Amino acid sequence: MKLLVCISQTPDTTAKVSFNADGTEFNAAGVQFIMNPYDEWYALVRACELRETLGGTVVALNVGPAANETTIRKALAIGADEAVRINAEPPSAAFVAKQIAEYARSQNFDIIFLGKETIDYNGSEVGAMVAEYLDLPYVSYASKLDLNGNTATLERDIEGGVEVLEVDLPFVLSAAKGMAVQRIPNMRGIMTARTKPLTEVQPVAFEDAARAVQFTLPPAKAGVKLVDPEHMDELVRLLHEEAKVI
Amino acid sequence: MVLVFAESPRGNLKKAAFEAVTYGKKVAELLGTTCTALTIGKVNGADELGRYGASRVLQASGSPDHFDSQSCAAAIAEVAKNNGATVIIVSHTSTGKSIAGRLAVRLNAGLVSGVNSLPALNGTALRVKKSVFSGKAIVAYEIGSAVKVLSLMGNAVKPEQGGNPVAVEAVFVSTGAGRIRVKEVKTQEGRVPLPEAEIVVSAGRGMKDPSNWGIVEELAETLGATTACSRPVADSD
Repeated sequence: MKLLVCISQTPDTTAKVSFNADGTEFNAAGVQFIMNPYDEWYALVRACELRETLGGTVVALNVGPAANETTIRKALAIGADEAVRINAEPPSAAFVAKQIAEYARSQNFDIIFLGKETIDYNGSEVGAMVAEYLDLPYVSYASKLDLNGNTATLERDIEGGVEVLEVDLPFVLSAAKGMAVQRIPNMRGIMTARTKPLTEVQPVAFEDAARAVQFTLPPAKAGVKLVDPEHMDELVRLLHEEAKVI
Repeated sequence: MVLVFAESPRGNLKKAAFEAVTYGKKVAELLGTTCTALTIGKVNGADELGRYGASRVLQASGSPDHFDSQSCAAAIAEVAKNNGATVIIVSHTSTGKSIAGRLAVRLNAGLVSGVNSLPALNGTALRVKKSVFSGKAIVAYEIGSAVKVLSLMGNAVKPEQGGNPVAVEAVFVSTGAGRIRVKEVKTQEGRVPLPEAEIVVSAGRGMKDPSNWGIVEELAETLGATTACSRPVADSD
């Protein structure tokens, strides 16, 4: 079983989001970066679980600069056997997808895992693009994955329900809550991660047709109105006259 | 031409499709062109898409598979190419998200997913906005490619009726069947899915404990609303 897990590095969920003065770049000063939670908690952990029961190799792949190696080592500490870093400062999801696809093309992975989206750009774009480049089936928002020989059974979150489906290997999936339970790296994992192979690969040229040109912060939220539990008439009036929901 | 993929889960058009066609019509007006809606498989009331601004409604026949993003994207791309579509719009739903990236690769198009407002023209480039960092920022993108793909965030535009139903035209697509085999679709009966909801009662960490959630559900039930919660609550176990 040869499994690829694509990991992104994102600002921490609690990071203060700000941009440079002309709104063209994210202001990374003082921001703590983490492994994208959906990649880590669900995609990486499920891949490691499958490797533990079925044998094989888990490769963690990141498209990013050398500064991302702390995050990549964490993936190794959680259980990936080896890691690859495609050396680039990715300008877009399409760029990342192209790099992943070019790397994976010759490697014959059985399953390519991604998180359902990154918590910074919330795009959910990369998985579908990788699948298209590689002419593979794609299961997005998978919340359960079981393997029986060459066939995978998955559950996939859809609007108002769940789809149960089957697909033969190889395929691409994006992982959502439910697929696995977060693992905290143990001391042994952290120690062995230091000596596991981390290979640097050079990116292929790619010109993206869509580029981010201007970042802005949303308008400040209106204040919260607190209604005293003794004044339910007031709550009803607010819901009726201001919120206009009843 | 602006091509809108009107999603039809289990053969029925949902709010997302009406929103996408409404949005497609407005994008078409901006570009001085027309909006065509495309459905895949047999869809009830597809002619109604004309009311929301589609001047043509196409129904892909052949064997495209609504459940398989590859088959679906191939069908949409084929119709887009044959009809000279310059902008393709899908809904930012579980299905749309699986398709948008594929369309971008297939058509060598720039993609912006989850757009939440009408675009602006900058020469031949399209400038669109979306919410990022889980709502903590807004980013404007420019798409310079000849063909552009957008996925539209739910509830970003209100469906608007202004036109009349149009006759549905069958178009044959050479796309093969998908490789994903759907065994079962489990839906929560009697509950309005969040993207379809008119009223949402949402709560966050202030509720302290799941045992306090009853009042949220009670209020939602009284209002005929759907419940929702903040990201930290959704991601907690």
